[in-house]
Amino acid sequence: MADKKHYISRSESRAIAKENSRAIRHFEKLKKRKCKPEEYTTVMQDDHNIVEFDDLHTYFFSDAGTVKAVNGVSFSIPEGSTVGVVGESGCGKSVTSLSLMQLVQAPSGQIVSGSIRFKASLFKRDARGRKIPVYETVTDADGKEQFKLDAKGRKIIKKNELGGNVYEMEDRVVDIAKMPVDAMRSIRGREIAMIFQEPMTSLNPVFTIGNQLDEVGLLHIQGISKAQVKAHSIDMLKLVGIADPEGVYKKYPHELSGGMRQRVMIAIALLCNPKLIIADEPTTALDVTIQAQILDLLREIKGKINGSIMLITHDLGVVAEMADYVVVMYAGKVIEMGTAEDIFDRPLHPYTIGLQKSKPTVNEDVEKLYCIPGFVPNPIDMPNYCYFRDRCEKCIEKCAGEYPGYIQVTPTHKVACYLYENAKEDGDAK
Amino acid sequence: MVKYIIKRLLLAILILFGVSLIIYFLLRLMPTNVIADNYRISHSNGGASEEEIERGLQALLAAYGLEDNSFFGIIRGYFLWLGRFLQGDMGESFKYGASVQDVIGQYMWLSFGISFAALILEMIIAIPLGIKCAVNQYGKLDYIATILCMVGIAFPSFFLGNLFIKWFAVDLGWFETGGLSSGISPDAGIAYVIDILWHLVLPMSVMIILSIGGLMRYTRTNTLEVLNADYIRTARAKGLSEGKVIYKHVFRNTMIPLVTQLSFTLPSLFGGAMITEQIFALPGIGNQAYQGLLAGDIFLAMGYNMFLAVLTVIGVLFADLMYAVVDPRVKLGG
Repeated sequence: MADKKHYISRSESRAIAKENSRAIRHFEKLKKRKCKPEEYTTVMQDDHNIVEFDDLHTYFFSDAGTVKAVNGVSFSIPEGSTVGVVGESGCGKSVTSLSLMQLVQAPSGQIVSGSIRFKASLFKRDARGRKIPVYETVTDADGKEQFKLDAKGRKIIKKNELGGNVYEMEDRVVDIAKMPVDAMRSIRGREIAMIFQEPMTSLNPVFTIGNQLDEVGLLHIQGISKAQVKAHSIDMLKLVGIADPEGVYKKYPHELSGGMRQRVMIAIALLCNPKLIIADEPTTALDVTIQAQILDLLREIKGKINGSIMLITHDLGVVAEMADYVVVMYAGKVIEMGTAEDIFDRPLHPYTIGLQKSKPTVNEDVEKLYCIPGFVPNPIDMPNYCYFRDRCEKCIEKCAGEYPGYIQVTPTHKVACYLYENAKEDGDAK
Repeated sequence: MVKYIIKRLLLAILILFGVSLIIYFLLRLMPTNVIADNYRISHSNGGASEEEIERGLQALLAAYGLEDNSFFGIIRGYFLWLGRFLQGDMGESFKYGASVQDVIGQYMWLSFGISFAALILEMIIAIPLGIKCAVNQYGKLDYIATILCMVGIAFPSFFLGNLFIKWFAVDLGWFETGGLSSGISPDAGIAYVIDILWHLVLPMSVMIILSIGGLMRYTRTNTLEVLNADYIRTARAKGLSEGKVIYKHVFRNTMIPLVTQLSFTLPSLFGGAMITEQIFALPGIGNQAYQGLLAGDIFLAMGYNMFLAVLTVIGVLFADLMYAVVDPRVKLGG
């Protein structure tokens, strides 16, 4: 490494800039293209999953070179479960979730390859691309079903319990990585909702809470009246445990505390009954007592909406409490995944073991908190051996070889480490 | 709110007192004095002796508190002026032979009309352009607009004004070189209005080109800042269209500093564009005040500067009030 330069020469910098602008133009064009839904329709590998990440690569084209923030991530979120994604800052866990929403900071950040399969329920369209409404029907004297007509003889569109129009829906598995932004918009907020890390800055300071809630309802529930949206928004505020929903509805974000704002964010996320909620470090910016309340709330709502949660955090305690499955990420790759019991009771990867050790515990008396030695490798020039090798205490000869593949230790537990190559053959998890 | 405004107005009185004192001192230190010049000219061929003229002049100057140029003499003169000013008498403009209020009142509206129309056009062009540039940062439009704006900012008004006169008035003959009308009588109605507008095309273009750059860059910077905010990501995560994100969530936040910035233009709105008006020989307040100042018309210069000072104070107060209107986080405390 001694001959490695710590600067970029002018010509190198120019070459990077040229390459970046070419790549960015290419991907932006793909995102803005018009295409038929068939182009991004695909099939799930396992029908029980709601989301499947498959070899996802999300890169940032920076001035210093291409940063491979997410570098071949594959995992899936089963329906009705909570999946925790853990890892230290900068390991790509947030970028993975933003890729799922197509919200990676453009233009420098782009999904380069791989696929994100999502089981969506989309509006059925007729030949001219319009939504097909469902009409009210009555059974006439002959026992035949007929359309109910209004005073002017027009068919009446069926209303759902919120007062919105009912349209014919179809279940369709889409590949979000290939979806144009236009189509993505009907999934954002309606099918997948996101709760962000910073409740203090995630709400627009110049609009009232009510305005920001109603906006989502008016956008995604067609034919709903303003009064109905307001009633629904206030219901949601009540659902997330806000004591005075009518009062909060009229308030501005700066008049609320951090915990209240995070509750409002959750209310916004719940408004359209999404199938999947992404919670990107929802408790990091809150103090400990509020953290517990918000986690309880998330667990409670998961039961109510019958959906899945993708919980991103660096707090192992949070994951232990919430998650059914855990994915451990390091430097843009998944290094270990399994059920929560697998990861907490039988961690295999030296990094996961190190993470567990560096967690502060109350009842043990330790002089100094454990910390994993060394640093994460530079994301611009990743080595092609195991990224954790230089920091690993259990490094063996084989580690000099190329990046290890996944080893299925038990049916639910996978790890990317050479240490366990033989473990599988022996049928021994330890 | 009312308490806050009253407090600010009381403070404004103190500020205006200080401002007027400084301006008065500076004006009194000028070597020219239009009263003395006019008096000498009108009495030089009347047969009166030099001594008589001097005595008459001193008496006249004493009536306005201008006879003594020592420190205490100026102080005394200042309070004489202040006393009349507080009674609503801003003094006589000797250059124009009318009271200062009348001079300002007469010429102000032309300047206001020009500046106001220019400001509206400037906003219509600069704000959307700034937002467009920010959204397509480092795109073709952004680079072109930035270069043109820099050119606009870099030109001094007298240079651009003269350049325009040379190109469009002298060489091409499309517009008039200056003035407000080419002698069509006001009775001609629509033709008269068109004639005036025709004369105003060049000066207004100069004013817009010079000021558009600043506002556009300001809008662009603010928009860029807002575009990176977390709440914009939230807005996108809701599934809103890009247009709605930009024109509702981004623009409403960009507006906060813009409103403040625009409130500060109040003095220049009424005060006229001194140099531009002069180049195009427009009878606006800026040009008239400039001529008065050159001639040493102390009371006109004093009145004009106080007029600007009052407008500035009101503009700043207005900016603060508007700030509370557009940003719900701002609460004006007493």
